[in-house]
Amino acid sequence: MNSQENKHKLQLFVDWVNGDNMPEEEYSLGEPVFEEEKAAKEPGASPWNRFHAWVEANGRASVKKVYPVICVLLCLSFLSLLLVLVAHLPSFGELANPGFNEVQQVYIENVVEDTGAVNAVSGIILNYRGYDTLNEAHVLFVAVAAVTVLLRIDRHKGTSMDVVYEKEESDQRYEPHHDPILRKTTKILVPFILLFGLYIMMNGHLSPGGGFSGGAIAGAGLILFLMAFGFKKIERFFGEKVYQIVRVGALLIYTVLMTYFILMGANQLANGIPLGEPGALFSAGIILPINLVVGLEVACTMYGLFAFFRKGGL
Amino acid sequence: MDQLFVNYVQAAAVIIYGIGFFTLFFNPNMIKKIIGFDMMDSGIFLFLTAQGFLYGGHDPIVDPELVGAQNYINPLPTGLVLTGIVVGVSVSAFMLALTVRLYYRYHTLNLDEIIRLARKEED
Amino acid sequence: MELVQNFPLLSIIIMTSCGAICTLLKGKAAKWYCLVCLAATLALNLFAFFYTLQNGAYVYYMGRWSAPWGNEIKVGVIEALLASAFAFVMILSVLGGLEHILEDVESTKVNLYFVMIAFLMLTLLILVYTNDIFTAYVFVEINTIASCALVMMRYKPGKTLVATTKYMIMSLLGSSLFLFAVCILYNITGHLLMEPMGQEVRRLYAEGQYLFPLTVAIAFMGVGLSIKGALFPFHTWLPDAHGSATTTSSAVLSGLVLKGYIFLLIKIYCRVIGLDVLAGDHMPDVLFLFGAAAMVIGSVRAMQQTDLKRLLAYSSISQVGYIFVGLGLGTEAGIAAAIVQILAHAVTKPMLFCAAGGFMNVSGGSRKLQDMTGAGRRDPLSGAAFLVGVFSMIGIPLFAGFTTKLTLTQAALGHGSVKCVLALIVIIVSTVLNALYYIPTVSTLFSARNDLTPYRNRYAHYHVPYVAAMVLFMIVNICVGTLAGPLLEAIYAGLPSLGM
Repeated sequence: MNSQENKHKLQLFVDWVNGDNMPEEEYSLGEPVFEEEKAAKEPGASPWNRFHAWVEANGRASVKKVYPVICVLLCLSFLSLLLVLVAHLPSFGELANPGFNEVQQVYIENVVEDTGAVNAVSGIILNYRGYDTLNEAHVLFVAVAAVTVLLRIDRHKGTSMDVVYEKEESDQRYEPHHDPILRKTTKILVPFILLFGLYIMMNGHLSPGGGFSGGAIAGAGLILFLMAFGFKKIERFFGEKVYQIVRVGALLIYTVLMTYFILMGANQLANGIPLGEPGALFSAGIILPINLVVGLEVACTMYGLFAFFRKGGL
Repeated sequence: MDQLFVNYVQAAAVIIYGIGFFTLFFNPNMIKKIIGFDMMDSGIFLFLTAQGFLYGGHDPIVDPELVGAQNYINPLPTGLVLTGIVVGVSVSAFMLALTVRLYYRYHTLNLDEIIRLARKEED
Repeated sequence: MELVQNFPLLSIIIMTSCGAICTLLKGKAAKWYCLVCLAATLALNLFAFFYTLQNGAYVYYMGRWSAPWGNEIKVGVIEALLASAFAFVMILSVLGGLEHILEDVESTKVNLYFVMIAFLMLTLLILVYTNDIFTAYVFVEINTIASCALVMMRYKPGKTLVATTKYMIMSLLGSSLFLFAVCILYNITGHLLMEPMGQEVRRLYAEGQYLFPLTVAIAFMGVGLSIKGALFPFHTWLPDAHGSATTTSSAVLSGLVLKGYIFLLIKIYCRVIGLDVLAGDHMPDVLFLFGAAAMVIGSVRAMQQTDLKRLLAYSSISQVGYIFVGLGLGTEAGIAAAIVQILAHAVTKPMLFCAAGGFMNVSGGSRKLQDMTGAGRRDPLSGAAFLVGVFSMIGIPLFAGFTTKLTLTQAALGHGSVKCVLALIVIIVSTVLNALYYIPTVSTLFSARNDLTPYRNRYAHYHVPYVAAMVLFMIVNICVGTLAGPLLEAIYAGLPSLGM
């Protein structure tokens, strides 16, 4: 019996090397749910197979009991490592910090004459290190594209908007229908919200603010309008085509502006953008247009994400 | 060890990071894992912002009367945090969309259950 | 500043706008526009490569401000070579898997597939060229989102959704650790650009200040980027993600995306931290051990697979181990060997995946090796390409894999210590294991037995893009294999700009 088994196994091994008979059941780690029942029930099953079957049947349960303990221990040791790390870092809030070197000095002392912005943070992220912010806008763009792939409903017969309207009507059975309080309040509030967003975008170089925060506020205003009035009304001025063109157009304008700035700068040529008087609204060269364009992009992103999650379409 | 109390903001940030890390590993629920990621990101942003602070420093809006870089806080880490927040939002949006699709397909939010169900189904 | 020096930036801007514009175009138009942009990127980077061969590396300011204040990219021989190679392989992978893209992805979302390909190319360009550590972080995140989107784009998602989720969670963990390391490094040095940061780190190490945070930063960065580059203990996401995605996605992810992260790790370790500081913290030893383990364990697991694409994915894990063994040797020759392996694998693995796609076509869409019995005879072009790929993986002379094994062995012999012996043993064992699972696969594919598969009468129909892609892949593979001398000279000429 033993030698016959060995011969059978040898024949299987030779076949496997020749590649003619790929023995699936015996030499590959197959699906655990079915493997274990078969292997454990064979009377002549080897100890390895039986151990394997026991692990597959009971292993998961025992791992489930031990896993929380291991998790807690692992995280506690990680946390203590990080606390020891914090104890070795430079002191908080002291001038002797490595961060207060010539970089910070130039950023504060020369920011007004180099970039025209009074807000040093805007000057840094949109002028000195402007290339990083361009890519940040692209991170938002890629995220919306990825969410589109996952959540956009496109039926091939009819347009996607039919599906979106159907879903909306079926949803509104459970929601307040044409709620008057919400509608009246929204009619008053939304213009102010959008105006406030625009104010923050335009004042990015004079006070804390900028394109990203302003865009988030404007996006919130649009979402409020959508929730109160529904898709049909907002489609009149902000449908899918307008949305795509505004979003892609804003990003392309930003790319063109930044490319011009980088090319002129790297080749040591003067770019023709005037810096203006520091402290005035229309100053700071390239920063104001970029803030507006980034604000548009972020508002479209916020609105688009909400619409995809809610309705699967625009 | 008193350096740990001098750096109390960074210590708090690191504790938030650790709690987020634990939430990510311990809970099989997808939404809780995403909350864990958000907490980890918040911890890192607090850690980074704390590096720019200066006791008695003016905020980085340049005041023409206050001359000299040693009177202002460091503006660079706050700029980095702006970028980081946007990146964190994008990644959260993508993870949430994945969770929605997983729920439509497998009708559960438990990641271990989902992996077990996926292993059984045909390709 | 000559016109040629602007070319890398122009290629970056072309890929940036390509991603944005492809959202507005329909499927076919998006495909053509994306291919044209990729071809333009290839041409521009080739010009930059020849310029740097003659004139040496240069630094390009992204804006008007120089090093510690503004952003910059550094263009050297190795960077331009890798950028051109990545662009070329990306074009060929898209052409090789084109029919599968049009089949697998929903017809209204095909343009979004090309958007993701464009962004992926953009991130590879920047990860290769950048000289700033925070720009690298932003692009690592774009890369994560784009590559996860590429995995999940199949129309009947099924297992791809779960594979994407696992990939995304582990990838985000890696980016989070990487960001933490960036924050620690900024805290102790005060700079974000790689060269000033490197000077500060060397000064701190010489004076003995902040040594513990430095070690933690090195460890976190290594672990974070190793999770994303699928080094041994962190490779569990790779077989599902690469095995269940569509052909072009698997090719691009295996061949290019992993290498982008690993090259970023090499760049940061050489420029920011420096090989002597690294050796003082024993990081190369750790990477060496894990790389050696990856080389063996990847091959052992590959032997047990019955699904062709999962077998190729496990083979990728083992090949990534070669790169880490080269990095772990810690010498100039080791780094050169690692870069040769990056190139060689980037031109081999996509070819294998595209050939596997061709075999799937003649086996009714099935991926099981049993159904593919005799597929090499039914589809001779894919069979020939697969054969070339297998010879390269095993390391037969005249093919790309041989160059890798030769340079790695020379680097190991030049090292002269315990690591040398261990490296030689592991290379030999890994070569034998590679042969042990590739040769049965090849004999199944070219077998004359007709009774084992229900698809015995299905022959291949060839389309022009696929034929062009396979032929060009084979030519490039043989070129990398035979032109090893000039290639190594170019790499050694470019090593100083990498910070040695």
